[in-house]
Amino acid sequence: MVKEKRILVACGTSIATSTVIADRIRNLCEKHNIPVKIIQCKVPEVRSLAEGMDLIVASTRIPSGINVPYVNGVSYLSGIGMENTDQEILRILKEE
Amino acid sequence: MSIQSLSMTSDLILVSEEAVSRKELLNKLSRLLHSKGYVKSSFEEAVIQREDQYPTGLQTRITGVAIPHADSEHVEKSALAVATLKHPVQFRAMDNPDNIIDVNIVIMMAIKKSEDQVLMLQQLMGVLQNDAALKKILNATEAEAIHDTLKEVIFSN
Repeated sequence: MVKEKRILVACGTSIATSTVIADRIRNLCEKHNIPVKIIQCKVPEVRSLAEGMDLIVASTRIPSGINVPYVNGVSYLSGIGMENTDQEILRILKEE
Repeated sequence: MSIQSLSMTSDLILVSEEAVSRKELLNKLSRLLHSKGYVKSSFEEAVIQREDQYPTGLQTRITGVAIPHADSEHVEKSALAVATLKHPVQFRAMDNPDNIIDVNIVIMMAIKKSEDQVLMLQQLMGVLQNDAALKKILNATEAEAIHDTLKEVIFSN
């Protein structure tokens, strides 16, 4: 069985932008048959929640020194480069 | 759309606004919302503080757009206040505060229920990714035209 990937999605409030980004990732992973567990959080919580995650996607900058792959998810809001962001996320999730 | 009684009226839309700074613009839109009873007096300070902490500038394919907002506790009734700018005003980028974005359209969100923030944002993303709608808003010379364009995109989904 394929191991479930754990993704942390962060934004300022953990409500609005992270939900938009999380929805997009959920659909993307479904399409590519990658089982995922998505956790939404506020940016200041990223450090304490990062452990054990396979990927962090955020609409804002995240604190430095976190040892988990990070993808900038702002394209899902602005519409510029969404496909590139998709590819970047898939590449990281398909590693290992 | 199901956002409860969202107000987006032409009197909440400023066209070809001349603002010298981000703060001036945020003050103006906040006060407009406050003068019509949509937000509490605390909204203005909250929205400015939030913009400092978590900037909302977004570079779209057409132009720079900012979507300033504050927590729903500062809101009385849900509304959108919009400004298009004669000259761009600099906002910091949402994904990297070191990047400056020349913003020509500001859409200030005052949303009463936090669940609605998500819905509203999803609708707004539809606007930001709609090149034709953004161009129409950018080139509009009357509030009514901006109102109709936003309404078309937001409420048709």
